[in-house]
Amino acid sequence: MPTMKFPWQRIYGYGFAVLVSLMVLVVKYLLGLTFEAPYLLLFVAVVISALYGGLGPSLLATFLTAALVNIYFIFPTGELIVDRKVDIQLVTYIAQGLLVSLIVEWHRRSDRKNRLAEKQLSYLGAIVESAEEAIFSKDLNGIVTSWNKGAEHLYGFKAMEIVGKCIKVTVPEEKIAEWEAMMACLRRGQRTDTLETIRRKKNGDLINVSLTVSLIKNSQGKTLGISSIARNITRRVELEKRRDEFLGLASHELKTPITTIKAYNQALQNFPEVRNSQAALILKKAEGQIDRLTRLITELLNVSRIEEGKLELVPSKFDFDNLVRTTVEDIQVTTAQHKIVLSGRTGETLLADRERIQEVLVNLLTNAIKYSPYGKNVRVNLSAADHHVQVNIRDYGIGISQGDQKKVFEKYYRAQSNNNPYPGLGIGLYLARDIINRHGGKIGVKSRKGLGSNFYFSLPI
Amino acid sequence: MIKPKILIIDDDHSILEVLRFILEPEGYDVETTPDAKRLFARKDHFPNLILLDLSLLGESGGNICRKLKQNPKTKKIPVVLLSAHSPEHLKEEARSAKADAFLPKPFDIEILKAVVKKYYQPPVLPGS
Repeated sequence: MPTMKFPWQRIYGYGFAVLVSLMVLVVKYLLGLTFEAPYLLLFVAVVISALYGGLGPSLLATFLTAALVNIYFIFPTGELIVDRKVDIQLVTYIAQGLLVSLIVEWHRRSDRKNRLAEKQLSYLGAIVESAEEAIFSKDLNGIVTSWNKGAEHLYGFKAMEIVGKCIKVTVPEEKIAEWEAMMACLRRGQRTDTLETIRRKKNGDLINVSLTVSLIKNSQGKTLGISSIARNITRRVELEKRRDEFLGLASHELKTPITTIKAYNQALQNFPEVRNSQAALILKKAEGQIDRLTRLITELLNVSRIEEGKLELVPSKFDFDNLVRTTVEDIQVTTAQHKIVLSGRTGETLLADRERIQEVLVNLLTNAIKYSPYGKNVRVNLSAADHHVQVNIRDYGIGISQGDQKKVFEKYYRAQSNNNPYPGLGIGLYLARDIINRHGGKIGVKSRKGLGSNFYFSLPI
Repeated sequence: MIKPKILIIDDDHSILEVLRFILEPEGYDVETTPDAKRLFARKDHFPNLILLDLSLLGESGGNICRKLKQNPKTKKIPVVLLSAHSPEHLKEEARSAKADAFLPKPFDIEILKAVVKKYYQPPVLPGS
C-alpha cells in the first residue's frame, strides 16, 4: 500500500530547508565567522533537508544556501551578483548539493519500494497463515518447504514435523500412482487441473480434498517449487453420496408401483372382452402415461449421474436406421394429431449406447410434438456423410428465438408460453447434449420463432 | 401333468401378486415368497425357474443368486434377476452373480412372458 503524503508534510519539508539554510546567517552573525564559507556545515544542512523533506526541499536548501553564501561570504558581500567571476568552491558546492539530493532521493524511493514490498509480503504471509485452506509448498521431489496453519489443521501434521519431509506421507496407498503422475506432469512444466482426491491425516483418517497445484516460478521463469492449496471437501462428498443414495432409492421406490400398474394395465388390455372395445384404447393411453412417468424418473436419476460424471455408456453394435424406425413407431402411438414422417436412410451399424441414443431420439420426438400444438407433421430425416450419421427432426411448431437457441441445452431451461413454462423438468435436452457429446457427436438446433424448429444430431460411424 | 413351477422372490407384495396374476393364466405353477429362507431349507422339489428381485429386505438378490449358482444341487436352476434400480446396475449384478437373464422394472408383460418361456426348464418326470 503506497503511503499517503499530505500537503502540509511537504510544506514542513520546505520550511525545514529554509530554516537550515538560514544557518548561514547564524554562522556569520552569531559565531562571527566572516571569511571562510562553512561549506561542510551547509552540506550537512542539505543532506538533512534531503533526508527529511526529499528532493524539492534539498534542492531549495542547496540553492538558498548557495545564494546566501554568495551574498554574505563572497566579496563584495551584501549583494547577490550573478555574473561575477565564477567562484570555484561555490560551483563545487552546488554540484555536490545536487548530487547528494539526487542520491538521497533515489535511495528514499527504492527504500519506499522495498518497504512496500515488505509490507505486501507480510500481508500475503498473514493471509496464507490465517487462511482456512491448507497452503503449502514443496520442491519438485515433493519435499515440503513451507506449511501453513490450515495445512496443520487439515493434515494434522505440525509444520516442524513435516517441513523437510516428503508430502507422500499424506497420500494413501491407492492414490500413490495418481500422485506420482501429477508430480511427473509438474516436472515436465505442465499445468494440472484441480483434483478431487483422497488424503490421509496424521492420525490415519482419510479425507476428501480438492487440490489445486501449480508451479512457483521467479520473474525469470525459473521453477522454484510447487505450491499446493487443499480444501477439505469430505462433507460435500458425503452429502453428494447421500443425495445419490436418496435419488437411487426414490427412483427404485417410484418404479416399483409403476411396474405393478403397467403390468395390470397390459394384462387388462389382453382380456377378450376388452381387446376390441374402447376400453383397450383408454388403457393404451394410460400406458403411454405410465411410460412417460418412467422416463421422467430415469431422467431425474441421470441428471445426478451427469453431474458426477457417472453416467456410464454401455456401447453395443446396432442397426441405426432400425432404432430410429422403431422409436418413431413408439412415439407415433402417443399422438393422434401428428404424423411422424420418416425419410432417408444411413444403412449404418453403430457402436454406441443404444438405450441412451434412443433416449435422445425419444426426447427430440416428444419435444417436436409438445412444441407444435397446432402442427400436423413432424419430419425425421436420416443421412450419412463424412463418417457420420445424422438425424434431423423438423417440427412446425412455436420455434425458438435466436437468443433462446443457446439456452435450450442448459439444465433446467424451460420454454415459455405467455410467461408460463411448458410442462417438464427442463433436463431432456441437457441430457441429450451430454449423451451425444460423450459419443463424440454433435447436437444442435436451427429455428425461427413461430416457424418451427429443426433439431439435429450426428454420431461418428 | 406336472405344471412347471416358478418361484418368485420379491419383498414387494404387489409385485408378487401381479406376477402371479400374469403367469398363472399362462399355465405355470407359481410360488411366491418375500425372502429366500425357505428355498435354502429345501432338499428337493426345486423350482424350474426363479424370478429374483435384486433388493430384498434381508440378503440381497445378487448374493442369493451367487449361492444358488455355487450349490451343485441348485446351480442348474435358471435365475432371472429383476430390479427397479438402474438397468446398468442390474446388468452388472446379473453378470457378477452369474444370473441367466435380467429384466429391469418396469417391464413389458409380453417380454416377461417371453423370458419366462425361454428360461424355465421343463420338469423332470418321475421314472423318465
